[in-house]
Amino acid sequence: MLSDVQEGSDEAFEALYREARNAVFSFLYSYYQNYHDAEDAMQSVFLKVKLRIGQYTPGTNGSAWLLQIAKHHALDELRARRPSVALDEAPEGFEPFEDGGIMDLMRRTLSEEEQRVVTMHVLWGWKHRQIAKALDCPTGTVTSKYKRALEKLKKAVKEVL
Amino acid sequence: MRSRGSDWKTKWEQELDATLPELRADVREHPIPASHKRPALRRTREDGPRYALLALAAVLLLMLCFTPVLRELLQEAPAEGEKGTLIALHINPSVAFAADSEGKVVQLLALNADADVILSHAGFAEEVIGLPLTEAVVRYTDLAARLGYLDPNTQGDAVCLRVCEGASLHAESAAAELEDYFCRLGARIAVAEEKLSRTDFSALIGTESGEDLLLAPVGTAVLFGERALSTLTEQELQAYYESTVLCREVKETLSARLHSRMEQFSAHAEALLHVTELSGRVLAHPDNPGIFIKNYWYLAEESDPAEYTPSFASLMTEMEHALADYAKTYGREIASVGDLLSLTEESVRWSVENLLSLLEDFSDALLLEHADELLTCLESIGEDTEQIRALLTPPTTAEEFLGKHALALQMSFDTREESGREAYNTEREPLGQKEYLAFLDAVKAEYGSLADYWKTQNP
Repeated sequence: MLSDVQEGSDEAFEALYREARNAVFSFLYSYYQNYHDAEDAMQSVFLKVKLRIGQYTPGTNGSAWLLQIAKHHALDELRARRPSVALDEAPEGFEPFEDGGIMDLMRRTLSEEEQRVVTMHVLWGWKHRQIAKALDCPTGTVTSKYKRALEKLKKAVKEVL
Repeated sequence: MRSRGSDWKTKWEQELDATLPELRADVREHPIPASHKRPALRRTREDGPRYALLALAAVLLLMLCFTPVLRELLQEAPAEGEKGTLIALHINPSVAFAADSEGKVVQLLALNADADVILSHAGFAEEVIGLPLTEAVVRYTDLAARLGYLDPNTQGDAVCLRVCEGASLHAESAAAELEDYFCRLGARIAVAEEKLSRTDFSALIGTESGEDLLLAPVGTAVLFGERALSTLTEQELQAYYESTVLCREVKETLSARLHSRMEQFSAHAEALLHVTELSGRVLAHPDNPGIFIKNYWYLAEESDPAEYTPSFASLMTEMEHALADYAKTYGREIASVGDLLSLTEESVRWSVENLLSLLEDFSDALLLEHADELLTCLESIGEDTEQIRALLTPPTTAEEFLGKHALALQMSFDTREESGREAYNTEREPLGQKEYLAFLDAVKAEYGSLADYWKTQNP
């Protein structure tokens, strides 16, 4: 699909957005912890995909490329704003996710890193080994984080139900 | 990207689908920079010889620059120089190569169970022994990539070449040849090099002395499993079999086969649903001539078709065709209501969703608990599981162990070859030397050295 975007297909770009937006958004949400900023960042990430599509090497792992853009975008932006607005002090904004919904439970019960691991495994479909590479930590750490997160999340889901 | 598994995951996707907005207009309308548009790239093999020549030139340059130094080193250790070269290659399947003084491979030694999958492949050891070390290393790496041990499409990975002290120039050339191979493959994979003392190398390959390997019979490939066998008691053998053959090769094979047959499971469930629905229609049909027993199978045996109304006769024919289609597709007959019920029950228990959920965290314990059922599941869609079934019973003798071990390795090879085919055959542009060097520079800038990078990738 990225190769088609590279050839200038707007349809391919829209299809990419539809297919990847949940995964990209959830990944970004794990950094921002609020809907407004994560949504804004997601749109910026997709704009960057357009602007940098020439750097993508066809045949290589497209989701890894997309994730790198999202990760660097979030880190750069948060680094730039940190002196004035620390993450924990981010202004309260509009949160469209219902209380007790999965996004709400993830935010309330999981650490940022656990949210990322769960997102990458479930929505990106990555193996623990790939996640470990992307997050620069041992595979065992990813596996244990994922298991712990899953336990917490399943418990939270049961409590809500 | 995917959405699969249990309810909360589906709910999660639905929640996101319902909440996230469409693409913002300014992003949608922003043009893709014209300079970035390009036609689809195709991997060209014509460039191969050019890269080979560049590598050859690099090796020659290396030899010209360093030969005096190496000669001096070899003179300091003439005995090793005369005996040959020992290197170990860690991809994850780790292997040691022993080469004679002319740089020809004389022996291969698997350093872990994954390497057994490669070395035991029919004809591989015979093909590699006698080849120049440089070529053998590339052949081994290429097969590892074909089997998915290396991702050719990766944005960054590393292998490590450990060289025993006193090695000849052939070892140096092997690293350069590997780098050239990765360029041709179009894979950003670095080659980290480490020099080990003879003592450390011996410890690595688990021999009294690294020289043992060179002194061993020429022309052999020694498997990791075979080496383990020589040191285990009968009881330990069974534990080893369970932890390696069952919980590695069998688990990997079973998991890959189940994963690759999800469409068939889904189609099978639909076929059963169709038969169940027809069976229900037969039972409930107002013209059903049965008095107490009204199911299709009973009527097909006991009733007279001449007495059927046209509508009921047509339904019975439809059912007959559905059962014949099922038997033809899945190699088994549904001969009674009982058959249909047990197949349906099994299909519901091991639905695609349940299977995916099980495979997501497919622990050794789950394998041992459900292996039999999972094989039955594969059989229900017409799969031959005889070989895997044979492996579920642990061997009781060394001879039996060797037979089962060899079978498991062959199965693992076939499974890996099938699952790794798509990634390996993906069209890629070969990497230019400049591009590859830029990748190495970036790795060094971030990790300090290629060896540190490799250690990070393989903690």
